[in-house]
Amino acid sequence: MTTTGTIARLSPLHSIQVGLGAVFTEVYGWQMVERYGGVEHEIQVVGGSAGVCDMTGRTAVRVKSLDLDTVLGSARVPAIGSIVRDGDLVNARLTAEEVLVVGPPTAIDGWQALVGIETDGEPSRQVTNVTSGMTVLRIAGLRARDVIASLTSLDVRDRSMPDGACAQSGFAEVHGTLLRMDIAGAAAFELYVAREFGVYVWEVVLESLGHDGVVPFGNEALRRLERGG
Amino acid sequence: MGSLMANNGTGERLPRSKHELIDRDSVIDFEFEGRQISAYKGDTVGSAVTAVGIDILSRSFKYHRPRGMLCAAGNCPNCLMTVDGIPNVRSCTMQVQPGMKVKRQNAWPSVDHDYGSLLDRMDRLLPVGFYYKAFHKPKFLWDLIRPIVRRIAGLGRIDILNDGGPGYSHRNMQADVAVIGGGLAGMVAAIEAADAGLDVVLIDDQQVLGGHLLSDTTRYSGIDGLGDGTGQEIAESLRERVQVQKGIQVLSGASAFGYYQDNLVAIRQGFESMQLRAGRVVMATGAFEVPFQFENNDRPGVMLASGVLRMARLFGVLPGKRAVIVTDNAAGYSSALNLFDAGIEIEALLDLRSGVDTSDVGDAVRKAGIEVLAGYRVVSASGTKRVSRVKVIAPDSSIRVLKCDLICMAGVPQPANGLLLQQPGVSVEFDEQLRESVPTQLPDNVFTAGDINGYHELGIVFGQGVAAGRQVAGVSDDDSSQLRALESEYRSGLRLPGDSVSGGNAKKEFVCLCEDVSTKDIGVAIREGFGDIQTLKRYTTSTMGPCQGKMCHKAFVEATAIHMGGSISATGATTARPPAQGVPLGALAGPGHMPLKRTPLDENHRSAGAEMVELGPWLRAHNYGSPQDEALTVRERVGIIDVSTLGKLDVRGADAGKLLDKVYTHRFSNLREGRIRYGLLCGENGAIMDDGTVTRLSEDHYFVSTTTGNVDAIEDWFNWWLAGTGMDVFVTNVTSSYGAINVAGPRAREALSKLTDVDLSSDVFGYMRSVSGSVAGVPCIFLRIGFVGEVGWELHFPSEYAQHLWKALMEAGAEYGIGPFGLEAQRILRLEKGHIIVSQDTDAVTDPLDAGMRWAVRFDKPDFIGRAGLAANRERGSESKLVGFVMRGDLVPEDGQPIVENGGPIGRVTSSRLSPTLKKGFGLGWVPEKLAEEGAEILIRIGDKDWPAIVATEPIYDPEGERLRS
Repeated sequence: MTTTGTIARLSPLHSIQVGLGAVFTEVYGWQMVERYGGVEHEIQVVGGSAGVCDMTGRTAVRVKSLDLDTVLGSARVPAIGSIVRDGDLVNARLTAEEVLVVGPPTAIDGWQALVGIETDGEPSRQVTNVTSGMTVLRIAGLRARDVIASLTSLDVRDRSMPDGACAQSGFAEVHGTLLRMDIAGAAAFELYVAREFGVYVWEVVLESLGHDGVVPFGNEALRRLERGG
Repeated sequence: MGSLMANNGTGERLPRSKHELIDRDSVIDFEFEGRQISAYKGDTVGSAVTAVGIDILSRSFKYHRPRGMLCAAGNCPNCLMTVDGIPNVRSCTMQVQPGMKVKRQNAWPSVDHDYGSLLDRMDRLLPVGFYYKAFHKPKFLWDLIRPIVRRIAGLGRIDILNDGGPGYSHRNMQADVAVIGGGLAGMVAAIEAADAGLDVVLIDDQQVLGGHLLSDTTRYSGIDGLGDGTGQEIAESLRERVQVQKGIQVLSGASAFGYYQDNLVAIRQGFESMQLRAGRVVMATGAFEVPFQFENNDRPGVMLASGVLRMARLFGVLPGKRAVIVTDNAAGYSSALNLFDAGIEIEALLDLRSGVDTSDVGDAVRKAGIEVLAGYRVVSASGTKRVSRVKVIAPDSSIRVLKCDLICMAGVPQPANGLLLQQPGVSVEFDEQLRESVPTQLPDNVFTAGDINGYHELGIVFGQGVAAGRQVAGVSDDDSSQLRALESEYRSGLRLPGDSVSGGNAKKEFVCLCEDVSTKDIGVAIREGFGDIQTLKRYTTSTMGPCQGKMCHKAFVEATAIHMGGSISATGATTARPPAQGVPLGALAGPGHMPLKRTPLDENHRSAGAEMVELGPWLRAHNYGSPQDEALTVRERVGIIDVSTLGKLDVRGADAGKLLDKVYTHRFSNLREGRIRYGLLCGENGAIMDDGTVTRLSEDHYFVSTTTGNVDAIEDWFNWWLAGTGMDVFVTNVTSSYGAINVAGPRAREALSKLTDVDLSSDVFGYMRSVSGSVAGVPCIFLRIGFVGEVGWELHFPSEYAQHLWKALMEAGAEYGIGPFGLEAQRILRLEKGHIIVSQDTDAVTDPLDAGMRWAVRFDKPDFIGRAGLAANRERGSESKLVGFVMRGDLVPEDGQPIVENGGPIGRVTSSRLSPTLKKGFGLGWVPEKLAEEGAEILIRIGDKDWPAIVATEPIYDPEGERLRS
């Protein structure tokens, strides 16, 4: 039997990112983009218009149960259409019977320890790790809302979708889940779509505000933005 | 009074005025049919070419008659041109851009000298609905004429070489309030609503807000809340208020063309299309003048008075020098004064109404020295390519000819309700007093304000705008009684206009300018039996052209009423449908994005030189060069194929087995852990819906695969049958989470064993068994199944490892001659094994019994979906069977070719390929039961000949399954 060393876990956008000259960093095997070029430039463009950051690799677990309060603990179950932050985790209540738990990347067998939920037991539940099936895009910047509005008929105005809201809808004709997670007080979103649509949605997002309206940015710029620039 | 001045190539212009829309300090050059024309920044194409003396802007649709500027507001069809390759652009609203290339259309060799205009003299051959009744005898004649008609029909030409054209984009918007129309009422309503804290989108089809006021130099005073000033000054003041009012988003130059249920408004602005969902809508689309009917009422130089004013006031262009004004209302007198003030010599004002207008404005007209001809009507206009005189008839029937180069029609404005009427629940009725069709019933959350309500008096329009803004905001309106009083006063002051439609039979007295339909045409159609307004519309095509009835609906209904001898109310109206304004198909289609699914191995396939094909939404590797060679690789050595597109469902819960027993024809509650069973899904009628495999991973946990295209439908199907049962089952679609590779072939075991600790020996890991383990360090679910008929394993693994695993397999298998195989090779291999593909080899009524899959149906189960239907089918027996066949000769039929007997079809080929094993054509096909026997001969039609084939009821490859189980 042949064994290998570290096995690269790749986003569906990996080859595009390589083509853009991305510099990667490894997180539990995930090849995550640190930056594409100048971080300052990325921050500047995102601040003036909008940017998209590939966050694929974030742990995503679907929890289904008729009694979510007991399975997750009531403090971890927000109202339908909203999210609750739980340390590194974000719990998004999608329906009466379903919560999407998202968090930082983990080892392939480490997700259960991260989310802290038993996969079996009473009351009945289905706890499914869907990390591998997701493309996760963080959309931020002055015109982040315009980007989202170009993709969906969902009402993403502040009053309908404030910070901490979540919704499922069609995004560029593809089913997706949207979490409003502002960055330093500015509207920002995390969009989850099926992995196989990753390249398609990425391309649509980049073209959504016309030429150079949306730029790709990496995790280094994201961390800077989260710290307030 | 203005006087014309010539200047820097931009044509004759009036002196600068404060409220014009052009910037005289900025000159733009553009190309017009190969000629350079200079314009001012802010000019429209229409104003620029009119300024340099181009009168004929287009040729009419049917008769190729010359047409000139008419409305100058984007409502009529007269100025449609091709701009930068895009046909049918309304040049009167399209702003000139540097380098723009413009040409006129629908003419040959040129609009100025169009041979098509001969049709105008052949009109007897082209009566209304001629394609139904002319050129049909003798029979061959229509075949000759039809291509010619098709060639000359239509407006403009799409540039098919211009790949993709401009990039159109789509946007979704939401607002508390959408105000449609940026005139006085719209602006005021938007300000009121936004002032109450609402989020307002104000949509206007012109570049600058203001509506009619933009070109109105009449001075107004004494209107509470509006301020004194000319119309232009009032518009400017309101624009400034809109600009500073928080909460208003203005979409200028935006056309609202669709208005759907629940206040969904479709808007086009340039190359962007928007879908706006509004809580409430204020429809303030205003009203517009429409043409009067008289002979040659379409001649260049015959214009709407408002159009002439727009040209003069907004662009400094006079489209004529000596005008006859035709009106049927007091506002026409104001227009006359406005035109006179703009520098146009007024030959006379014809008032279609009998009696002298004694109003102040009537007096002002007379004081200006303008001759008023009360009770006169226009008989005809004359002039070859432009109006040169007009023949009028006095009340005493005496005829008079007036010299002019401009006829300005200032009729009662007609409400622009084409958009409003698209909304379900809206009713309009003809108001005999106002002589207009006005709204009588509106759904909740829909409001109207201004001219659309039939009131054309500034104070009322303002009051209605305020009232609408307050209504949408839920603010009480203390001024409502005052408004009602003004409306009542307006009604009592109205004088009935004369008939604007002659009711005569002049051939070239046009009702519908878009489709060249005359009053005579309408009379003919009615005499032919098309008396209902809806069928008459379709027969004559009136109101169906680019203006969508804006210019002709009123005249069409009036002419119909006159010919039918009924009232306008009784005649009814045509149905308004989207689009209210023409929209390029590209704007509807939006950006060229096609949701395509890529497997996690997409990059590997491309690197390996695969030919990629779209299969449903998926991009798949069809082949890597030679499907036949790829198939032989699998038969003789080992091949790998990307099967990530297979649908995968995670079914979990105490009742998971019970659910699967319910929806599948087989039994799964008794499936042992680590075992796999083929699954067949049927609809209630017993017809095959889908197939796949079901693997029991643990007591309450199943891993279900479906066909590539059906997973979403099957997930819904499971949940459908779960609903309300109380069963403890959860279904999650995990298709995206798992990549999948099938490793198959006689050397598959050796190749795979290099990468895993799992014991793959047949004794330990038998056919239709499953284990979990790792391959090249990647966690996998191993399924030992064999769609292609060789020993093999389907590996399912987290998608992000796909590229690593593929590479590892290729490297490990190199010494065994491994190669990738594509979709085509897979299809050949499965066909040799006799495995069906649902929807390819089955149709909507195929059941498992006909398809030879009785073994997959457990009638001993108490119930399952489709059991009753299958039981009935079993009783009834089959008429045809799905069987294999092998061609006698060298030919390979194509999928779908008929199986024949005595020259007639008795069945069909569902799948057919060249077998790499037999080197012969073979396949699957439906035959009558009597022929579904081993060795029976059938005939397959290929081209125009029938070719023999032999029925094979067993798979042609490894019929005992020895290789599969080895």
